[in-house]
Amino acid sequence: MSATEAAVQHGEAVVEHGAAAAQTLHHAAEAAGHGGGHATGGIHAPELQNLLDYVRAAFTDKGMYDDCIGHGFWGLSYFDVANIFFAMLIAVTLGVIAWRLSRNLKKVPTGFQALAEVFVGGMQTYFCGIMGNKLGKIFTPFVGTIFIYILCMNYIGLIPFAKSPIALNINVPASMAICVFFLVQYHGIRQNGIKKYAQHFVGETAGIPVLDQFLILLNIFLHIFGELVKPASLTLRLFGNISGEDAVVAALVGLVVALPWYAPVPIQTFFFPLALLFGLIQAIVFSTLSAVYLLLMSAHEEH
Amino acid sequence: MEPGALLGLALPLGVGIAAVGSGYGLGQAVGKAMEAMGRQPEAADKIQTAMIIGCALIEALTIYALVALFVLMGKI
Repeated sequence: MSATEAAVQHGEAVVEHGAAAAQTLHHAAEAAGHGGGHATGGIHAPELQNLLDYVRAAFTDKGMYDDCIGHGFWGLSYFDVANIFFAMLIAVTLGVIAWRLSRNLKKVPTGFQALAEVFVGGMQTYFCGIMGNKLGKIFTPFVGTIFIYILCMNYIGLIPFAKSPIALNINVPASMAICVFFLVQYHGIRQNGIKKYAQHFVGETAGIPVLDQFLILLNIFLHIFGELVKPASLTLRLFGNISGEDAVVAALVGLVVALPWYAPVPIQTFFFPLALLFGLIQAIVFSTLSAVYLLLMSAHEEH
Repeated sequence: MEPGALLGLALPLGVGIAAVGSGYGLGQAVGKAMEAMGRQPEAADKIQTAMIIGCALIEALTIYALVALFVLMGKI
């Protein structure tokens, strides 16, 4: 089935679904947000409006709660574009900040440079503790960038009118996990040489004729599967956590909308400290696991 | 019973059962890590790093159930 057909079928399913669930609490959640993400890699969950929804409602004939259209642009739907827009916004902002900071570095740091140096130094200490001094110094720029990027993407979902690029759409976390996957494989080949890298997949032989061939096949299959599972689990962990967190916030906002006018309690605020904690932990976990995968790939000579 | 109602019953139940399992696992992992930290406070940093990685791996199992819930939620 092509992406276009899938999107159209999704759209029809949503129309029926909307008619059936009109009187439920779910409806309150959809009134506050909208069931979003019917797209390539998107999912259905309560979701708050973001800036782009208002822009789209203002400049097109689509309403605020309309589902995806526009599967013409590189096969991307509106919801993909919204996530990628916020991801690029963060990437460009971080890039500009880093560029501005690194222009005129002083020997004796002051102000913002001192703050950044403390931050970067802390990350370097942390990753050197995991990967060892040599590898840590090489890979802190990559893994640390991933950490900052994910942290910003997790936290932007808590700002009104912004959307977390990770939430409810699998494309952005998958892209980062794929980057990590290819870096790990490249590092494995460069560090060990192509022969030892292949040896890692084959495993060691015992010298027994038939059993050896069987075990080699099993080993190759298991190792390839193990390598492919790593990016999948990285993606799904980050995606599921942040999607769940944002869906909970949106569902709580739906509850607030359903409250009577004389008791306006902002219920979702009580969830925010937990959301801040989750965002930090997921950023730490993603970057730490990337570091561990890099370490596992390079430590072959030592054991 | 119609499929939508069955899904509506099964999905939260499935996530709940997955959460029971990984809750038990997390309790074991964090409890043992705390014990180890209490016994050797100078190794607390290393233990904490290993604990966080382990917790992430355990927690991922519940997250898979949650992702399945998200994927099937449109069919309710």
